[in-house]
Amino acid sequence: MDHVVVAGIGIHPFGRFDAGYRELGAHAAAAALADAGIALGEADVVLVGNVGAGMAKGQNLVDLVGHAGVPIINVEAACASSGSALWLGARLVEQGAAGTVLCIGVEKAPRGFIAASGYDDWQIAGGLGVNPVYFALQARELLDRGATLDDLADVSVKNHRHALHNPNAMYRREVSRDEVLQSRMVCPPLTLLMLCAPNEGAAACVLMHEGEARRRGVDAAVRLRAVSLVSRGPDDWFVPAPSFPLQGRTSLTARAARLAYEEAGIGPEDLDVVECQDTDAGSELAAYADLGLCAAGEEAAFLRSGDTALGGRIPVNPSGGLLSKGEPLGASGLGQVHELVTQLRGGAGPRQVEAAQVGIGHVMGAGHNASVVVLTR
Amino acid sequence: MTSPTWLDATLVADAGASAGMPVHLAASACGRCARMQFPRRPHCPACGAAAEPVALPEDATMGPCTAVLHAPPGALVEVPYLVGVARFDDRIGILGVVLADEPPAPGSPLLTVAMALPDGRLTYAFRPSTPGGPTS
Repeated sequence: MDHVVVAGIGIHPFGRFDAGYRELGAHAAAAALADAGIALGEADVVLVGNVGAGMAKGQNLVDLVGHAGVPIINVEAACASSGSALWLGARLVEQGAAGTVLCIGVEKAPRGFIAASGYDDWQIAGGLGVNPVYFALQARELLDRGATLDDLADVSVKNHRHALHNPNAMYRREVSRDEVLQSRMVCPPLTLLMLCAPNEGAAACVLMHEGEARRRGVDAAVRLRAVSLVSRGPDDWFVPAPSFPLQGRTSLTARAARLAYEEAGIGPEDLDVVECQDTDAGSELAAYADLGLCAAGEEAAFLRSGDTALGGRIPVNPSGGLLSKGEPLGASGLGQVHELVTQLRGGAGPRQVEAAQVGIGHVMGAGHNASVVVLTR
Repeated sequence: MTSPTWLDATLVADAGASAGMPVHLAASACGRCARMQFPRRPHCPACGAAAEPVALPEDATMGPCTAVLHAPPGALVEVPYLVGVARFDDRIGILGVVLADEPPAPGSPLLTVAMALPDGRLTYAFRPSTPGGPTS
């Protein structure tokens, strides 16, 4: 993509709040509009990513921002909801169908297991409709390929350390490897501190055609170069599928990354910073290979090298990731965009990735969907 | 005697089985690309060709295994219980409850059986098939 500018970003911290989803989303939306220096009515369309809120959720949310009469479209794709909104919005701008798009992601997720992830009744009643089971089985496979329990714990240790300086994260304290390993076992080998907590929050961004940005005098330094979105292929496996092929299994994330790199004309070697879907510690390790940061089988060695920590060659989840921020499902993708744009603007303070020029965000959701966005400055 | 009630009788090829008996899972295999599906599908979701019904063997081998320690919403199975992947002929891996006290070793033999839930309904599960292995 050659014409899409990220003109503004906004966020409501991730955590637990008394306010409703409308207030959370309106807060992030108003912040993004103010950052871009535009009014709601100057957006050609508003896209709202959310999973759990009710009918006409986006309309009722935007109602708090203003009555501007602009089109509002709700987008739901589980944990990739706001990634999907971004995919749609970027294409509208790139192809000239809209000059300015406001993307909002928002969630007030209930506490505990994420229920209703698309499982059939027999899976739920039969004890198989359990998201952490899928991540635990993936973690077992990583352990079989040479990762250790310490590696799983160290992903969480790293991301919690990163979150110390992120005012938008839910958990902002360091955890030790022992603390992670000794926290409550959820689904072996995954302990509570190796899993993200579904929570509440919102994030938003204003996408603008470069011509529109020039006309308005908006800072056009941060560009959206690519955003991919993929659904289930013949040999993928994710929540809620009860079976998978033993030969030739493929990865949604790898396919989404390949498409995004192709569209942006870059490769993983060009990246300075990565925000990935660390639903659990194993998912971050798996993403290292799927995103092309290292070879398959070398995920643990890559973590141990320190390359993915702040100060390393390619910091992953400098925001603290979902492990520290928590995961407001519909907002997580735009939360990554907020972090990446902050990094590319050089405004991340103590968690700044030095001279960050190219970053990617990655989300993956139940029902088999994944999205990768490439941002540059 | 009435047949036992299954959570979903289409999951097995022998819905007349009672709790503890070996059963055969009802899968399908594509006539064109040979991919297998479970649960069974009339057409291959990969290539669209007609799929043939297949009754999987009752024997499988253990893949990765984990446990559910905290009651998930809507589940009738009482925690704690094991969930693992049963591998069928290196073609398809299927998630199921594993009836054992400890996770069976990867690669160890499993038997597919009918498992009774607390409300009396049946679903499939896997258990170690080695002689002397746990059966409940």
